[in-house]
Amino acid sequence: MSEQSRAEIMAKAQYWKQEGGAEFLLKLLSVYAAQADACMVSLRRAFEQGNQADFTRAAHSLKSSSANVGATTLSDLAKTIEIASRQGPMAQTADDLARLEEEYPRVRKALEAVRFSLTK
Amino acid sequence: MDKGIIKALVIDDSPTDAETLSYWLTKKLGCAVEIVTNGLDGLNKLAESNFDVVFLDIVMPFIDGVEVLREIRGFNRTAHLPVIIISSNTDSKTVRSLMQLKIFDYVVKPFNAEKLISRLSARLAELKGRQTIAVSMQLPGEVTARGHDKEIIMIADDDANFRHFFAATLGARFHVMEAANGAQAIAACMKHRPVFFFSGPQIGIFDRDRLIAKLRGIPSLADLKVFAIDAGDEADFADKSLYDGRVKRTFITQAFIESFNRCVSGAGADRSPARPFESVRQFLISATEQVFGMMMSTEVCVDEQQVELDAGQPGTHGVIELLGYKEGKRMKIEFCCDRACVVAMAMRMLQMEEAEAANSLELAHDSLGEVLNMIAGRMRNSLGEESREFDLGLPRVEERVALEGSVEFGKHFKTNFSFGEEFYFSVGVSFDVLSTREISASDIHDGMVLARALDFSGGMQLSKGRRLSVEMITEIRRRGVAEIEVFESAQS
Repeated sequence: MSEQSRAEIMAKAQYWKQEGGAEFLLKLLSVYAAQADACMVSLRRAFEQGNQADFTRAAHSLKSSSANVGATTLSDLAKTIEIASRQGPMAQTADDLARLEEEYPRVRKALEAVRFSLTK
Repeated sequence: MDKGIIKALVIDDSPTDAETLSYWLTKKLGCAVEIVTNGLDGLNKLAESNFDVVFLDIVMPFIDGVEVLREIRGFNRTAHLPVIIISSNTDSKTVRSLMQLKIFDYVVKPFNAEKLISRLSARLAELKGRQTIAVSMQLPGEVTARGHDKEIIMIADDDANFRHFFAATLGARFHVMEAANGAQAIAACMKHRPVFFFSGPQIGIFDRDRLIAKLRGIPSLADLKVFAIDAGDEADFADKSLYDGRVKRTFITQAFIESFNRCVSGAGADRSPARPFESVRQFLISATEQVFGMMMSTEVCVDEQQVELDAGQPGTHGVIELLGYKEGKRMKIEFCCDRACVVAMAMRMLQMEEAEAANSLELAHDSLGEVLNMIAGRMRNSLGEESREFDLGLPRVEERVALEGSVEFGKHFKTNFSFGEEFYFSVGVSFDVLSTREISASDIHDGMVLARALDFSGGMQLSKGRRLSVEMITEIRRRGVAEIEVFESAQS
């Protein structure tokens, strides 16, 4: 994860903390983690099963939810995958899916750091 | 709505998006929010509880947003419930369906807090106004009177006894609405568009002349006839130029009805049967914001600063017509923007790279044509709600060397819109009279539209605006009609 991506997540977390308080931020992080985990599982499963509709929907869901927590790199990758999947065969998204799967653990790690700082 | 709090239902399969939207609605806009994460739960919620507005995502599993909206519209209790679409990438087929199912507004995902609040605060305030009026002005018998063939009139007066007398006396002839203060009166007039507005000398804290001046300044109420109701003291009637007449304020039924009839018959004599075209401006703004916004996944709004396009620059020009044969009127919706704007549109609508979009103007033109088609379709629906029938023409989009003269912004409305940070386009609507011509019966062909009614013996009539079928033409010839009058521009 680039420094810029990490900084964007931290800035968004700071924004939500100031805006809605630590309690709201914790709730948002928890809701996002559950949703994004499920999206990642759906993406890989749909890709392997050739289920383009589920694949596109999972990318779509990950795109907007990730933007809400400042994970813009992840959101942009999800958007690229969603558009490609709407326009052509799912197989052409393989490289982007791999990049998404590399990026996601970094996002989770950054969000866990935020959560830890709030709960310690 | 309880104590002015708007009760909102958010239907979105993304819990993160739903939570953030709910946060803004609750903390910044004072709504009471419930969230469900799929369409079926949403429909169940709507069946068991009352909501003032629904925020609806489109891309959802099991049953998508369009299907949910279709169900909402098909259910009696929610048929007119305001629905705000939460949109991300929305294809043209979906937008077309949404337009037909009458949406209240849209918001773009991912949410931009500032834009979201600014857009929704205006829309929810409008909603609040509507709901308050609906509750406060409901009278016994009003529900059954509404929606039928009675014209709506409004009485604004401090005195509840006089309002009641007014409504009871005229309730058989008109659908009477009441307002106890100026704010209620303005909001109700904008919502219900009465044909006549009657104002007592006192309307809450509003000075009557100020209230009427405000009403006079609202374009969509340009044809509203306004009457003062006074006991006879001319001093009450400060600025005569603001009023169309004066009705005697009396509780003596016969005297009141006589005074009322004198006013209304005078006012009605020169009143056109249909509302003037001023009312279409709001339709145009709303349709343009919604269609363009959803197609481009960005906020599109009326640009207050009225940035003018550089007329000397090359650009794109589009036009689509709405043909009202019964009224004999043609409405022309025109669009223009510069090259940078149409490229930005293509990038957003077709997910193209900038260089690709700049080199594929034909594709961009096709998309713009589709958008114009949807805007016009939406306007046709809005006009249809006012019992005005219009046929949709075909959109034409072309590149122009210079925009100068390409849009004749004469006697009509032009509105500048903006999207993104720096793109502007103009949409205007103009209207003229459809020309007609006489044609001999032997030259008639199907698809032509009658410009003058045809009366046959035996009481049979073909009305003005009727599109001729092969069977009708056969009948016309069989009856020995020599010539008929048809509209020039009818598209067969």
